[in-house]
Amino acid sequence: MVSDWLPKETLKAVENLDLNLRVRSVPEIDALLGKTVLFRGKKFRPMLCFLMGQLFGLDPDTLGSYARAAEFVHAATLAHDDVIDESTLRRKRPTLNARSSNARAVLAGDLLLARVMRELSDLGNIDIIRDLSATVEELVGGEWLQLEARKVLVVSREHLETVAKMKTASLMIWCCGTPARLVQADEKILTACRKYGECLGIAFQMIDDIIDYDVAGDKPFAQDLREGLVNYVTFEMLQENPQLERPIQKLLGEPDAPSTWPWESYQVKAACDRVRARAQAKLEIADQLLSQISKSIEKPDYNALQALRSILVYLRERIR
Amino acid sequence: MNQEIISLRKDSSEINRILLDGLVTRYGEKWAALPREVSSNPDGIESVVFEIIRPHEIVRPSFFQVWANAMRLEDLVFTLVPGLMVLLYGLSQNWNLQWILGGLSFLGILLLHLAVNLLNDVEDHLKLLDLPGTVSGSGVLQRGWLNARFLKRVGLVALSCGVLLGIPAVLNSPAILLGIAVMGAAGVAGYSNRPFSIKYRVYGEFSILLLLGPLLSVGYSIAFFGKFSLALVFLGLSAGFLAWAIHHAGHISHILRDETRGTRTVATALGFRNSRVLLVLIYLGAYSSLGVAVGFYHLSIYAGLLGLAVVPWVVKLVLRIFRASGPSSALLSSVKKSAAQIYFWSGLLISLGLGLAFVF
Repeated sequence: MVSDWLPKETLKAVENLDLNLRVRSVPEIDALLGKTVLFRGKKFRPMLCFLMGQLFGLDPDTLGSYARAAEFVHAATLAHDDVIDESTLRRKRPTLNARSSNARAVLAGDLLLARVMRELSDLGNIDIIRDLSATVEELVGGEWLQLEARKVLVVSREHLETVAKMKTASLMIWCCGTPARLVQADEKILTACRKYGECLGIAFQMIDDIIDYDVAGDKPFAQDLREGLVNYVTFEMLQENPQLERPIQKLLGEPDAPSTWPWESYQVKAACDRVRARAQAKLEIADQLLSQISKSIEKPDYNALQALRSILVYLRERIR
Repeated sequence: MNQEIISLRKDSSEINRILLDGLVTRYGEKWAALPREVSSNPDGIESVVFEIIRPHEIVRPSFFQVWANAMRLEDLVFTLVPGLMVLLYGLSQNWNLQWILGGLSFLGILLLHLAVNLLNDVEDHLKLLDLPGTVSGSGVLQRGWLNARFLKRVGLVALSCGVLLGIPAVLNSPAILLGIAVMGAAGVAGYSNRPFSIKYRVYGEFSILLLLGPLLSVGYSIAFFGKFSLALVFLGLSAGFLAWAIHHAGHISHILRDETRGTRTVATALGFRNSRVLLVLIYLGAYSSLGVAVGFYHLSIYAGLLGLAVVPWVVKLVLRIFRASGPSSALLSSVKKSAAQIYFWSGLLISLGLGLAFVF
């Protein structure tokens, strides 16, 4: 459980994070968001923000608005993604677009982004605002590339890594870099914090892709394939077993599962092993970076450091 | 599978040995060490992250498949196809075939090409350029199927044999072949090795146009028949353009990676949009050269027409590249492979045309 290894201050800050928009003109938007993309999320990104801040000795109150911004941006991308993917369920609940309409889902996402711009402008840290603008550009770019990649069987490793970095890692990079900006850490430490976020984000994506091929996982088996996307595991399977190209091409984008999958279980296992090794390599780098970051801080908060390390351990255990 | 992750400083004394041997000692035993990531800390100190596994747990395909991968047999079309075209052209012109010299030279060039593939793989592996996520070579070293030290030895033997087999032809026609041989050897040696490392430089691509183009076809012609013609120069130029198209298409899809590494290619110099235009010009160059060979230097019309049969696939490839939103687009992932297929089928069809000219 996450709460087992979070420092008390961070746990309290995450639990008490105010995600109400209080939109006076259209209060319905608040209600809709509260039932969908802002409903009981894991708040992982705000948690990263608070933890990294605590490592640097920052008070959670200082970070509250930035953590909120991270969660709002994440929620906005979820709202927009559900429209793009025509999804009707998220976390086993109807999506925003399913509850209302595509138009309203797009507008609700836009409102979240607008609120982020306003709140961060009030805080006045132009570097952080610029970073977040660049992050939103990355998120859009990543989604664009992924959209283009639907039903494309032959993708490159670089493409997968680029999309993972833009779609999954970019916001985590911002969450890890923002506290460093706030304490005006030097460029090397800021880069290390951002790199930690990047490694975490890419490892996250790889782990998600491994779980996609786990019959006991939370999601339907090979969901990415059915959505027309080649993920890290599918890619590795195709690399080692080119004879699977034709059968997998037929499955790409088909919503219904076939009666039998065209691959053998050992082929999936081998592919998962290779992706697992890469994810573990990313987590190893993240660990090294954490050590370097903490060495650069005069009085690092060891509880926060331990919690940031625990994230890496937790991720390793998830794919063991 | 028992796998662990270890990290070593890139400047440590043992890194080069581990990369060459692919082994590291752990718990008193030898484990296979496969490089997975390179990272740098805030002070700029780089570390290499290895996945280590017990050697017997590495799943290797058959001996043939391992070596077919290592030698990148599919790449040999760059040397086989021009050789076939020149052979059939010469026979169609009733030139006298020097079987032994020609055969030795052909084998020598093949071995030189194999040597380039093997040594290039080793170099890129030792420079940690080929890692999961960025592998452009055969991948046999990254998978632990072979070790770099052994591959380097085989590459050097292939290089030496290739040079030796070419000597008789050079001695027979020193005037031109010596120059071609020196340029070829310089190209082979300098492809990925310092100080030239032409693979990583803009002018490297122009050297591909020449080395895999007219120089190769003229060299073959002199080795096989003791003479050459301008038709072969332009036919070779056509092949050179098609070979360049493969490299350029690959570089278009790697613009961002190359920019990050500081590798200069024509694609990084021109940018994504202009690079696509250059690809069109390269293909125009290929077919113009073929047209000149047919129209002005009496290359068989069959060869010309059959060579044009792949144009619809060229158009399809170019359209796919123009549809891509940017250098990271998934649509670009297979462009190099498509360009290679175009090269292969062009060469085969032109050879068929030349064969028809020979028969009829």
